[in-house]
Amino acid sequence: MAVLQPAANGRRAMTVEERNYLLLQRLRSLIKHAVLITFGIAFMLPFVWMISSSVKPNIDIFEIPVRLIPKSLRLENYIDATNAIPFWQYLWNSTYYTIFATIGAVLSNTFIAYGFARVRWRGRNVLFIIVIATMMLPFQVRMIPLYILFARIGWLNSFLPLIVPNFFGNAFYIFLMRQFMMTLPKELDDAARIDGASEWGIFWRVAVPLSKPAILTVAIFEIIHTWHDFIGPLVYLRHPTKYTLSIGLRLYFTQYGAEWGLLMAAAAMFTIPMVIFFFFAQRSFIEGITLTGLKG
Amino acid sequence: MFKLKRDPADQPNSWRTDNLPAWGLFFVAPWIIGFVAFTVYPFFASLYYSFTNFNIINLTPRWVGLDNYVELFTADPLFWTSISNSIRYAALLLVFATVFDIFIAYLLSQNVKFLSIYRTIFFFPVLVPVVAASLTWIWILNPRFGLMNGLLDLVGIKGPNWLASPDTAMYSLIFIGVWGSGRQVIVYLSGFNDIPRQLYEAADIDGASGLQKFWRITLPLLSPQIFFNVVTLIIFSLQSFSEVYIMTQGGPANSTLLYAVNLYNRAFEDYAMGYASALAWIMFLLILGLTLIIFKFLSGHVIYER
Amino acid sequence: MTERNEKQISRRDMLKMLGGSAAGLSLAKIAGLGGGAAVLMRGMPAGAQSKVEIWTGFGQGRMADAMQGAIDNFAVENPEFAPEHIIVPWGEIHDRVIAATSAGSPPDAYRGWAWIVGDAAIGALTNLQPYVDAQNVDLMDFWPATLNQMKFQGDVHAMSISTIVNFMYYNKDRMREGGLDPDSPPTSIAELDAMGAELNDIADDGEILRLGFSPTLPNAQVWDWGAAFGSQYWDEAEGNIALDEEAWVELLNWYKSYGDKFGVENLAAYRSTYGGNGFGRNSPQGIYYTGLISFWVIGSWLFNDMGEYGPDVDFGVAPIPTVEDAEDATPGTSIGNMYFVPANCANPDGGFAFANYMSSSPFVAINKALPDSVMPSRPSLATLPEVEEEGAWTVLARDEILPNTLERPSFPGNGFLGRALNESVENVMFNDADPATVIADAVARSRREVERMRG
Repeated sequence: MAVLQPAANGRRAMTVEERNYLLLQRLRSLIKHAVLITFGIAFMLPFVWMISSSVKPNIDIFEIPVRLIPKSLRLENYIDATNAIPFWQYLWNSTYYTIFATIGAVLSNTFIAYGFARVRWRGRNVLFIIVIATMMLPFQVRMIPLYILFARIGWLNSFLPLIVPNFFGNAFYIFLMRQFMMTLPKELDDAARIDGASEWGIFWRVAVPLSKPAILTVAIFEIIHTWHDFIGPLVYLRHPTKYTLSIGLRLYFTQYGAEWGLLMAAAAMFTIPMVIFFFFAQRSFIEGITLTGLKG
Repeated sequence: MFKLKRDPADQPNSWRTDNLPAWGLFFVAPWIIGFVAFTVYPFFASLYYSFTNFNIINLTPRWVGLDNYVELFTADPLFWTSISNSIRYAALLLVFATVFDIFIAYLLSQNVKFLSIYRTIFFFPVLVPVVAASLTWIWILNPRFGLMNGLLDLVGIKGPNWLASPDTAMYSLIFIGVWGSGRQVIVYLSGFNDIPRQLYEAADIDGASGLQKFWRITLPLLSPQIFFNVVTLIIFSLQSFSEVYIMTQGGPANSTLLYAVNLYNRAFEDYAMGYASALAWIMFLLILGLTLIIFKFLSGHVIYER
Repeated sequence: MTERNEKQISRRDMLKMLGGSAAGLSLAKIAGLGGGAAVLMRGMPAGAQSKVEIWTGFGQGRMADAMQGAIDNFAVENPEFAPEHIIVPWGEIHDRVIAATSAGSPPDAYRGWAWIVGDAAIGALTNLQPYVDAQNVDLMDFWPATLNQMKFQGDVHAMSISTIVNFMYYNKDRMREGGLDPDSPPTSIAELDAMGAELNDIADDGEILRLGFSPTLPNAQVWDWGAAFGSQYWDEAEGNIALDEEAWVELLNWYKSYGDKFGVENLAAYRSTYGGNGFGRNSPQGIYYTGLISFWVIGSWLFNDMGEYGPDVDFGVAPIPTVEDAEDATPGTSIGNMYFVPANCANPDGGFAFANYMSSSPFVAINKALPDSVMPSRPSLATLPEVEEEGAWTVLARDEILPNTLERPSFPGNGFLGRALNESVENVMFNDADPATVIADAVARSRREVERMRG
């Protein structure tokens, strides 16, 4: 933006134009921040409201006018929330599903993407176009036949229908990792090949270590995706002992109607692991989204 | 689908001189197995099922020919309602989310201070599990005790019924959709950051106005990101299910009955698996058609080389 | 016992896996570990007993305690069975059992409602008639309406614990405030309209502060109003859905008149604020206990809640008002609360034993049905002194309402019809749809659904 170079080091006195320009810049920056802060607050409000409701006693929940800062605290909501439904069981189920789905996604997609990115072979590009095309096939088309398939082989009510397919690659992740692997210098492969490394050796000792950022990105995406997954568990996990939290949260709507305090406490406990996770993985996270293969 | 990276060494006949196809197939094998088992098989099975009638308990399909398709087009008002709802949802979400996200990303690209904090905030809704977010939104949008109308009350506006009224329920969903579209902000932001500063400086020298710069420089150079976001958003929003299933179950008066919700109801509540398979196939064709149209109209305008 | 079962479960899961692919096989152990531990188990410890898995929606509070008490007593009386109680959200229990049945791992018994008997049409239920015959279960000792609901094509497919009868509750305090005689509640729809109108409390901008009456309120079932307007639901001879469409046109116009009177949006706001998930029945702030509504129609099961959460409310119960000049008009529908044994469950003997116990044990009638304020389905239990002494509602329900109500028929496609009827109401109220067209369409679609389920 800055076309003029305003008063470098402040040695030279500013002209009127320069001063006006600076003023204008400040004003613009002020407006920018005002807009961003307004929207930023609006974006955070639902979460704030979740937390705020989660510590309110039932009486205060139904209060008019609404109060963002609770009048009185009832932290017991959190304890009650974990007792009202088998919260810890569901948390464990969610964690379990997330861990193995992520392992599957990382292993398979790294492996497959290498085949598409670094090995040259006939038919590769045709096959890759098919990979991309599968992204357009809605889950709903596959839902019913897969349900029947998994019912026939006795996989329903276990985590297998959710986890096993992850070990066979996913178009979006293959795409993402392939785009990344293409950017690695070819010379490394050739050097390794001259040293007598096999294709497997190149994959394992050259490509995998260099692809760490992309692998991390896939892991992060998959962790969030699995943790949030609703329709998968809804369709396949029908036994109450196997519910993940995303399904189990609805147990707070019992014959009594909703217990908003408990529900919000549980929702907060369901969200917070992702928030903590995000703060640790933030950089790879943002890079990962940027990396989704958009740079020509 | 998107701009693919080309392997410079990818000569038409390089396979002969280079590695054996065996190695490539070795690495790609898991995908081929999964593709056959989890995509090809369900794809054709679903097509077959769509010509049959069977329920969830007795999984033996009985051939009924075109009956399901005939019924769907001629005698099922919910089919048409759900198609038009889904298209409306996808179209409106597309417009609002794209404009809003580009706007926010633009502001963020202007060397603002605290960039990472803002970025985190706009990305934050993506982190809230869809179930937790949806339940929270039900509560926020309660006409009387909810935060939304409570805040509107403070400034003297009597808020609408949000999810409880057929006039506003769809807009409430779109509003929530825009709130949750932070992923796109990040993508657009990366696009803005890739636009070379010199182009703007040159335009300044030529005396171009802000608007001119936006139309002539920003938008064309942002086109890959726009293309990517538009395509993914269309594909995902036409498949939207969880939010609506949790918040409105398609009501009131079917005003939010999205296609995927109707399909789920038919399959897993009415146990009409054959009929639901026919619905699924129409959905596939719909998504395919819309995606192809977008490709045709947008891909010509996408500029990849800088 | 818990540990042993976990091992069994994981071993079984693993066996199932043998048919899977190589990658799947290696995952079997992992998956077996993941799903095993059942925190919800509350069953009695047992030695060589057979496990009976029971699903209900009784999660917390008074009703959950009563349920657990009944299960514990079952275990004491039947030491050969080890009951295991699993709690499922009420709204999902049917879907989930169906899906679990399709998956081959249903519970051995579960708690649902009469209309689920229609599932027998798709083979989702165990036919209990052989058990009933072998064990000489006294079927004559059921309310005739309830017994009909237990049967599908002549065979018993469910055992009923209790029968829900719907009342019109009326808030006498509010009636006094409005200058109405608290001892003469409305008996006809016309009276209900007139008296309800007296007790509305509307803000200047149309916002409903307190409601006299509206049929759109949560929990008021469209089925009951249909009966009160003189409609049937099922034609036994034809074996398909049949509504009195003229009565339904009148009913839909009645709904519409409420939309016109209050403004549809105001009714929607009221409903959304307090209804369904908003203001539950288990809080003293609930809509029924604070005078926010004066006349409402709901099951007898609210009775004890009224005592618990609104002890100071002076209220009465009466039969649901009906359309005066309509032939066949009945004060709502009755619905049996049922225990079902899903098809292909692991322990159908145990499932039936439990279902039969729940429907015949005096202990259950007194310690489970009464605290839930629902009437036992067997006359012999409903005439126990404890039941008679429970409160005015039992005698009213037993002697005056039940004999006159329409039994909610149990047919396949019941859920679809319910959805279609509610859609019709919404379409007429919100979209100004033509009642005759809407109802004819709803019936036609529901009839087709019945045909489809028959295959």
